[in-house]
Amino acid sequence: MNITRRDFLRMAAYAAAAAGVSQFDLFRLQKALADNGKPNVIWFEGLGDSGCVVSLANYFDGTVGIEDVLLNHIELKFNSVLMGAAGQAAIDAAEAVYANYLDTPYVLVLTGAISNLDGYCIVGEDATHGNGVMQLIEAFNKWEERAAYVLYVGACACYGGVNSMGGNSVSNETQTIIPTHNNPPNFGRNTNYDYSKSLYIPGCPSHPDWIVLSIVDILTNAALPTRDSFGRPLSLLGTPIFANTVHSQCPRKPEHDAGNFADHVGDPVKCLRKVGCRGKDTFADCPTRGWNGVGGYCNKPGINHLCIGCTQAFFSDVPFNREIDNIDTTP
Amino acid sequence: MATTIVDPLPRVEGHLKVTLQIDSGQITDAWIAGNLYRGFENFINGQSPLDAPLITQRVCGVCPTAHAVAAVLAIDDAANVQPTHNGRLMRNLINGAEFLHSHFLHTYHLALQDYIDMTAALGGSTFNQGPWAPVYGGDRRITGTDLDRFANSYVTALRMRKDAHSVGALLAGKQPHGASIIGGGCSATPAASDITQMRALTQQIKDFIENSYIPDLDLLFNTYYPDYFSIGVGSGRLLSYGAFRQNTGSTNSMLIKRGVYDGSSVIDIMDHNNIVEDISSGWYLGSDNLHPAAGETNPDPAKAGGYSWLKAPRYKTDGILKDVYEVGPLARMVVTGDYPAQVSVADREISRTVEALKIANGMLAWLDEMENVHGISSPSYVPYEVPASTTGVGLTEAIRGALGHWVEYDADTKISHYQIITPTCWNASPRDAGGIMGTIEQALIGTPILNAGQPVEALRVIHSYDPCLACAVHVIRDDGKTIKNFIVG
Repeated sequence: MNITRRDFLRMAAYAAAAAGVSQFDLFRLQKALADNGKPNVIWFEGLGDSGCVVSLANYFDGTVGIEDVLLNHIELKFNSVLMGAAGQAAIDAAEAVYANYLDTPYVLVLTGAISNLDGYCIVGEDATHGNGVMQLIEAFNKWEERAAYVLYVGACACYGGVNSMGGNSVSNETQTIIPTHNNPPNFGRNTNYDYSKSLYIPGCPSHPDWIVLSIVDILTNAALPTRDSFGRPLSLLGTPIFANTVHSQCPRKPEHDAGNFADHVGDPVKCLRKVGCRGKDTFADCPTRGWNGVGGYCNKPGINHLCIGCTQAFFSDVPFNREIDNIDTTP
Repeated sequence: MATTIVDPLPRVEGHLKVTLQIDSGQITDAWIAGNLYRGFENFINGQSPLDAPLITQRVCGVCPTAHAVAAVLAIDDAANVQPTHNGRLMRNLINGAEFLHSHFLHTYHLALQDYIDMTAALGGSTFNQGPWAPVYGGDRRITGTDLDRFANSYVTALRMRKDAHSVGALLAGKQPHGASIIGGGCSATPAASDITQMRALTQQIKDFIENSYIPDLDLLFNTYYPDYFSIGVGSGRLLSYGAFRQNTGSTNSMLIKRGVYDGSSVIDIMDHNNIVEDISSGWYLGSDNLHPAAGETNPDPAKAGGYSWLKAPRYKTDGILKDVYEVGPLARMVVTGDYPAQVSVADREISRTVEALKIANGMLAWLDEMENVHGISSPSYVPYEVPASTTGVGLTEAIRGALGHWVEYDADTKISHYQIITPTCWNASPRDAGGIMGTIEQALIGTPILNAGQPVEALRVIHSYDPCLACAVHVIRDDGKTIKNFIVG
C-alpha cells in the first residue's frame, strides 16, 4: 500500500468536497496542504469511555475512511486505543514529538475529562519522569504548553460531560433562558490553558466529520476557525457546524409551531419538547448532517427519542427525560 | 529474574497496567491493575430510572448498547413489564450490530498488531508512521502475500465495523451512544426502506465474516501461531448470562444461552444469587463476599494487601465455594454449544468469528421476524409508570462478556442504589481471599517470553480477553490521595 502525495491531495479534496466547499476553496486547500507537512498529533484520553475515538473511526466520506486520515492527514504519534507502541516506547514517541515541536508542530487532542485529583487518571509509567508515574493532568499540562493547537474533543473534554454529573441535585426546572452564542455562561474552561489556540468540539460522542473537518480547516487556514463563546467552531470549510439550533433544522418544527406536542418519547410525528427534547437549546448540525452515513440523529422522525443536548455545556444537567411546560411556540 | 511493567498497555479501552515477573523466559507471576476512575454508581443515585439507559451506556464507548440493554432490562424487571415483540427485536438488532462492530475492532485494530507488523505491511522497513509505529519487535511470523492479506483485512474491517454502526444508527439515531432504547421496548418506528437497508448492510457484513474473518483467524492460528492453542488457558471455567431474547417471557429463550462450564461439563443454569464480590485485594473496606445487589463501595487506598481498584467477582458453582470464572465470546459459544470446550488464546480469538456469524444470522432472522411475523407497524414499546420502592436485575452480555446491572428505587421512584458488574471485572479481577488469581493473571503464568523488555506474548494473552478498563473501574474515590503503586520486589 503505497500512498503518494497525489493520493494525499485527492483524499483531502474528498474531505473538502464532503463539506461542500467550492472549486476555488478546493484549489486553495490543495495548495495549503501541499505547502505544509503533516502535523504530529498527540491524543490523550482522560476520564472518558473512548467513545470519541470509536466515533472518529467511523469517519467515511463516501470514498475514503479513517485509514486515509491516519495515513495522509496526520501523524498520530500517541493514542492509547489505536497505537502499536506499548510501555516506555509509547511514552518515548510522545516525548520525541514534544522535543521536536519547533521543527514539526504538533496538535494536542484531549478526549475525556481532566481530573485534578492525584492518581485519578494515569497515562502511563515513565522511567524518565519523577516518581515514574505520569498522571494525565501532568502530561496534559506539559504537552499543552508546546502544542500549536489544542482540540478538546467530546463532551467530557470540553465541559466535563457525564463525569460532572456527580453531586448534581435532580431538578425538574425548565430551562427558561435559551442559551445563545452571545450570552453563554462560563463553561468551566480551565483558565490555566491557552484559549487562543484551543478549539472545543463537543458531542457525546463528537461527530467524526466535526473532528476531521476541524483538522483540515486548521491546516488549510493555518489558524483556528471562528469560534462561538463556548469555543466551538461556528463553521468549518464554509459549512455551518455549531451555528444553528437542532430545533431550527428539525422536521418536527412545524408541529412545535402548531402546538402539537407528544406526551411520550417514541412519538414519530409530534414535537418532543414537552417530554424533554433539548433541540431548542442545543447548537449542532445533526439533523442536516446526519450520523453514521444513514442520516440518523436522536430526535429524527422514526427514531423518536430526545435531543439530550450533548453539544452543550449543560449536558450533564440531568434528567434527560423531563417535563417541560410553558413552551413558547412563537416562531 | 526480571520485572517488567507494561504501562500504558495499548489497544485496550481505558488505562491498563500489567506487572509481570519473568524468570528463565517464562512469566512466573502477574498482577493486573486499572488506572482510570470514574463514578457512575455514585452519580446515578437520585436520578430517574428512565435516564438509566442513557447515563449508564456512557460507561463504555465501545459497548454502550450493552449497558443500555442491561439498564433497560433492570428497569423493565423492576416494573415487571415485558417489552413488545418489535421492541425486543430492535434491542437485539442494535446490540447485535454493536457486537459485530466491536469484534472486528478487537480482532483487526486492537489485537492483530500483536501478531502482524503493520509497519511492514503498510510501507516496508522504512515506514515509521504512527499510530502503527513503533511496535514491540520479535516473533513476527507472517510475511509476503499473507501479510498483505491481513493488512487488507485491517482496512476492510474498518469499513465493516462502520457499516455495523450504520445498522445500529438506523434504529438508534446514532452510534456510539444511540438514543432509542427505552422501558417497554424501543422508541424507533422504522420504515420498510430502513429494514431493507439494514438487511443489505448485514448481508454484506455476513459475507465479510464468511469470506475473510473466519478464514483469516483460521490462517493466523492454525498455520502461523498454533502454539497459542495451549497458551493463556486461565481458570478454565466459563460463565455466560446469555443474551438476545428470542421471545418475550422466558429468559432461557435466548440466541446465546445462559449457563456455566465448570471445567468438565456445561450446566445450563446460572443463578446470579451465587455471585459474590471478594474485596480482599481491592482497595476497599467493608463487608466481603456481598451479592452485587447489596454491594458497598468504601475505598481505602492504604489498605494492606490491596493492589487493584477492581473487586473480584466470584461464582459459587456448588452454592458454597467460590470459583474464578472467565466471561466473553468463548464462554458464550461453549455454553451455547457452538464451540468445543477448550480454552486458550487462539480459542478465545477464533470463538469471536463463530459468534459473529451466529449473530449476523440472528440479525437477518430478527429483521424477517419484524417485517413478516409482527409487521413493522406493530407497537415498538409498551408505556408504563415507574414503580416506587422496588428492585430490578438486568443480566445480558456485553461484547466482552457477562454484564449485570442491579437497581433499587426509593419511595419517590428515584434510583437509590445501582451496582454494575462488568465483564472486565470478572476477567481482570485480582487475587481473592484464598490467594487465587483472576483469570487473566492465571492465563499469563507460564507464557513464554522471548524478550523480557518487549513482552508481546503477554499482550497476546491479555488482548485475547479484549479488556475494557473504563468499564471495569467505575467506582469513584472520595479523596485525592496518591494511588499506592504495586512494585514487585
